[in-house]
Amino acid sequence: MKKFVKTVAIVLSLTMTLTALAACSNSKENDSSSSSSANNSSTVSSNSTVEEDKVHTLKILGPDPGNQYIKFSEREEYKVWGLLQDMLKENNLELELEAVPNDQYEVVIQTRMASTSLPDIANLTPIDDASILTLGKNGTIQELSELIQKYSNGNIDRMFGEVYDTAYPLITTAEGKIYWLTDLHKGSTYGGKEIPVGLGMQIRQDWLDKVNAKMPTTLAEFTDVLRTFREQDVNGNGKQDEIILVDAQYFNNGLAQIFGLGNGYVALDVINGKIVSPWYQDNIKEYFTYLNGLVNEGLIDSATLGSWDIQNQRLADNLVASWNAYDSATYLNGYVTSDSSANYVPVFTLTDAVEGSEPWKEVETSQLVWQRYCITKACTDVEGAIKFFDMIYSDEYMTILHWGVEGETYEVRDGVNYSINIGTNEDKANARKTNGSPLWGDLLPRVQLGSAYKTYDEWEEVLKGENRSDVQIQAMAKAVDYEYWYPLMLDNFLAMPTDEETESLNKILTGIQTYSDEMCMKITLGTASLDDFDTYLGELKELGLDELIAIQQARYDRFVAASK
Amino acid sequence: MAKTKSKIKDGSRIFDAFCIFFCALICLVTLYPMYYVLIMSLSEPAAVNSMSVFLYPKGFQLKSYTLLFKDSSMWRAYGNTIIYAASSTLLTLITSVLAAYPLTVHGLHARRFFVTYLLIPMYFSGGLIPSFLLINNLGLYGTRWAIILPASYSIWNIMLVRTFFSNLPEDLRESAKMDGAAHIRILFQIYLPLAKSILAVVAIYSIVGMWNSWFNAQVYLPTTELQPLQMYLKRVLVQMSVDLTKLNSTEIEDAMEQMFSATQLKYSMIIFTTLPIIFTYPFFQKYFIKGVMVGSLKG
Amino acid sequence: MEFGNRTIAARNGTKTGRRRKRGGIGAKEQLQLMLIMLPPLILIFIFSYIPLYGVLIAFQDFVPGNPILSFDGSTQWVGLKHFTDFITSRTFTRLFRNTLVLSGLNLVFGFTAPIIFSLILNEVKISSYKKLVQTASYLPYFISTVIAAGMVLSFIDTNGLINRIREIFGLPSKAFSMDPNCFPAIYTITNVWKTFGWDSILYMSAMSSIDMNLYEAAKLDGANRVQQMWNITLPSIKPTIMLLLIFAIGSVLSTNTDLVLLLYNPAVYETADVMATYVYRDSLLGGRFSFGTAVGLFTSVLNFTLVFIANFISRKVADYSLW
Repeated sequence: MKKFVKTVAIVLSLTMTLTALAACSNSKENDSSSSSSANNSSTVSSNSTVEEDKVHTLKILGPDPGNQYIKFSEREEYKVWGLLQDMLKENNLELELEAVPNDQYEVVIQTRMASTSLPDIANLTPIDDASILTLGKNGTIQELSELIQKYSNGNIDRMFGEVYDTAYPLITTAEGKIYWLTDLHKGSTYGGKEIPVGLGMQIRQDWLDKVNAKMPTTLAEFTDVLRTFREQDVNGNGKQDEIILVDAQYFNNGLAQIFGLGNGYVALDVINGKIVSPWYQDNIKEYFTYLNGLVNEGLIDSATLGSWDIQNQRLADNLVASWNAYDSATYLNGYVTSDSSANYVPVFTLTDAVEGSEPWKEVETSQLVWQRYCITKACTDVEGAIKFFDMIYSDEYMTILHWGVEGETYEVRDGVNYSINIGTNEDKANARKTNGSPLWGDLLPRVQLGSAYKTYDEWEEVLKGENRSDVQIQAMAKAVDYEYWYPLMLDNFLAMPTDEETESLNKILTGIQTYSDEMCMKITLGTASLDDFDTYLGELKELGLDELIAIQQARYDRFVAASK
Repeated sequence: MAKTKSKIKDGSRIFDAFCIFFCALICLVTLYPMYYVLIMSLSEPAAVNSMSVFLYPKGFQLKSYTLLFKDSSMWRAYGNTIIYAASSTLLTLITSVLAAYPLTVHGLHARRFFVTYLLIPMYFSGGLIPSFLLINNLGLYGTRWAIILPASYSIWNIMLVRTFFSNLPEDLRESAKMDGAAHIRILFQIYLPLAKSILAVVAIYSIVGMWNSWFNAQVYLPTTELQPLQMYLKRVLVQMSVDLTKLNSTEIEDAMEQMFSATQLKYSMIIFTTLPIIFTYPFFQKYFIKGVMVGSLKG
Repeated sequence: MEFGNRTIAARNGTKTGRRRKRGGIGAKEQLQLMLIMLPPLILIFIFSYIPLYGVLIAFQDFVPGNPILSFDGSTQWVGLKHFTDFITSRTFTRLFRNTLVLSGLNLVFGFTAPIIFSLILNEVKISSYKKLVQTASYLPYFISTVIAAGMVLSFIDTNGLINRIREIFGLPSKAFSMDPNCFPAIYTITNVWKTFGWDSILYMSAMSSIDMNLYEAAKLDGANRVQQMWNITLPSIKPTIMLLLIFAIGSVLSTNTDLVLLLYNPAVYETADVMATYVYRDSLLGGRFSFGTAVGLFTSVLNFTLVFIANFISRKVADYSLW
């Protein structure tokens, strides 16, 4: 009996300790939630003179943008944060920021939207377009176009309508409503010409030099060079194991574009303004025949087809002669661990994949729109919220966000901005010098505008300063005027889907993706025969490929109409 | 007679040899992966990225370990995990025993109802949002209770304990009842001492389960102060392996650099987090490695 | 065999003994028992039952931020739309078949492996060795799925260990990860390897409570070790086996989604794509809460039904049942 009493006593005391422990943390929670009602008091404003002095308090919820080194929690130590605070003060704004760790944000926003404790402004990116539209219709988030008309000082209109001229058509619904504002990105220009970034096959320049080969210009030459690498064991490991990495399950792999094929299940042919699917395009069979040939020759290692891990191992092992990446990329070289002289350079588009055919290129356009910031129904001071967005879409904010602190992170020469090279994120954090973007970007919207170089030479000078090779610079320059291209982010060319379109897309997309990925792999591996190609097309039609093309075409047409 | 006896003995020896050999094989297959993770965590990053380490570490460095060690938020997360694991295990033990015992008493009214009541939540759950709303409405959001209370019972463990109890001789209970003992006393004084082995299992399941869990923390703990170890580790990895699809060309360079250093960290983190929990095992093992003399206890 | 019958008879004896006493408890005792059960049952009600209304999401077009249950018309009820969408989709048959095959294989091997292992381990008489083996056997459970899958993939890689061994025997190198016929084996082996030691803990614990007198008696009867294992150890852990079997059958439509996602690629979709992975890919497109919930509910209902059936059969055949 004694033992029994003792056990019960221990159990009880432990339970009580735990209760106490948890209670401690309970009180903390109460503190943070009590502030939510603070902004309810300052709602009605009678005349404009009073308004000037009124401080608008806004609660904002977003992901903690910090990386491993530059941490949001240490923001006070950065000069650029001080600049932002000054700017807010000038505009009579006070922000209560709630930054949720990035990896948790998706779940947190999904659940918080269901609860009653909504912020005034939230980054709703993890919730898809269609769902946000539903939220807009039932009033959980507020419609913005009227509010902008009523309260904005014109900044929002200027940025979305003029500086980034494709932005409004992308965020306006078919009914002319706007439910969110976005991050805006515009790359550098020279002589007023926008500079996009191309993607394509890269090749080991050092290996070309080693076997005394010149840069290939046709697909046949390219393939021959790959064979030569292999025959001559150019990596010198005693095995003929030099390979090319291809993401054969997708079409945005660099090689498909050399055959002129689109870069997705559907892609935008900008020349004709048509949504196309590579499955229906000319040369698709030739493309698969080519890939299958590479597999049979061993130039594609079939184990690399399905796994990024294995691909990275091959790179680190110094086996990869060629793969697909941004033309501007320089990080690839560091990936090769056993050869410090590794140098990947872009092979600009290879001609004659099929006799006389023009190669296409995948391109990240200069102008990008992404992320969604909404004003929720909990926001009573909508005027303040619009004022906040007016500040965000001002040139001053853009400068501190994208460029940072003059003399510290950037300098101005002849009216052109040049960033000062501080080093990696780790270096920036140690020096406590950064622009605003890594510190608070995506918690508050990002507005980025690259340098406006006056001439091509000026731009080239900058690229050289970044230690880029001549081949790379040539390729980047050539991409600016290249005629045959598919946009990397199709979404940036499509108007918002209607309800019916969303419904259909939801229903068919996964099926098409599954089948397309699977058949691409199988045909490449040779486990599915090209003789049955019509059967595959038939299945894709059944799965709704034509419907997908039609829907995206309609969205593109609406986008074009709205952009004019 | 002598002949058969020796035959049995011989057979027994071969059988022993077979068992020992079989177990040695198992050891080889199961020890290697942990060893592999260990040598990967100690090798040079270059060798790790090319996955060329198989038998012994290539090079030697402790960089990723020092990275983890010197971070104070890691130790805080460790402490949190210990709090969560200890408290939820204790509560799980109590609730499992309490729920299991009555179900083994024959003659309990509506026993089928109770078993069904237990089974339904094993298969059906309301999912993320209703659970969040519940925690939020109870005022537990952002508190330790949001992690502890939902983990304070495990239906699976109730089932295990119940099966174990129902396997104990009914006479035990009957004779105690004759002596006038109430059920709660029978449970704590007669059943529990016999149930050490199953309680050890429940404890292991529950500790390990809590040790590895992160999902509830992700939903219910929006600030890092209260988060457990697994959340911390996940975050370190996520920060290092950035989602490339969300970036554009200007940001990709930094991201790739970070990714490069993440591979090895993965291995160090496994060693770092699982070793402590693996070492708790022998402590519980003693409760069920030896046979219990049920018969002798009875008398 | 004589002795075996005796033990079983003895056990059955207690069973019939129990039945005799059935119904012999009074209202006071009932109350005691109810009070004992009350705290856990309340906890379960709060944390498992209250949120259950969330399954309604499967019958609507749910958007996070909308109320799940409201009577002002803001909930968009769609009935069984998501279920019919899924069941009538062109990939359904394949998904369903693959799910059954993969989890069926796992039922056969993943369920038996820990039993065999613990039976053999139980026969090891060197205590320290036994402890070592048992500890070692459960290590793979702690290797994260990501790492385990990575190791498996690099073993079966074209440059990997398995292919190097094949080379020794003059066999050509083979990309196992691209062969749909190999996937079920790769998945099953990885899964069993990861879990058999962990699952055997329960059996080891059950074996530890076997009355040693039974073995003594059996020895006197002249039973050899294998006979003892068959006639004493195995029947003694039968309740545990039956419990695990019933639940294993009840999970025959669930697969280890993480592991499949990490091991598969489009080339092996044919045998590897299961319901859960399809839903996963679908959810990446965003906004398909309801569809995912519907597929989950579909799986749960079938699994739950299977548990009922398994329990019924078990009661008739093995005289063990959950209720």
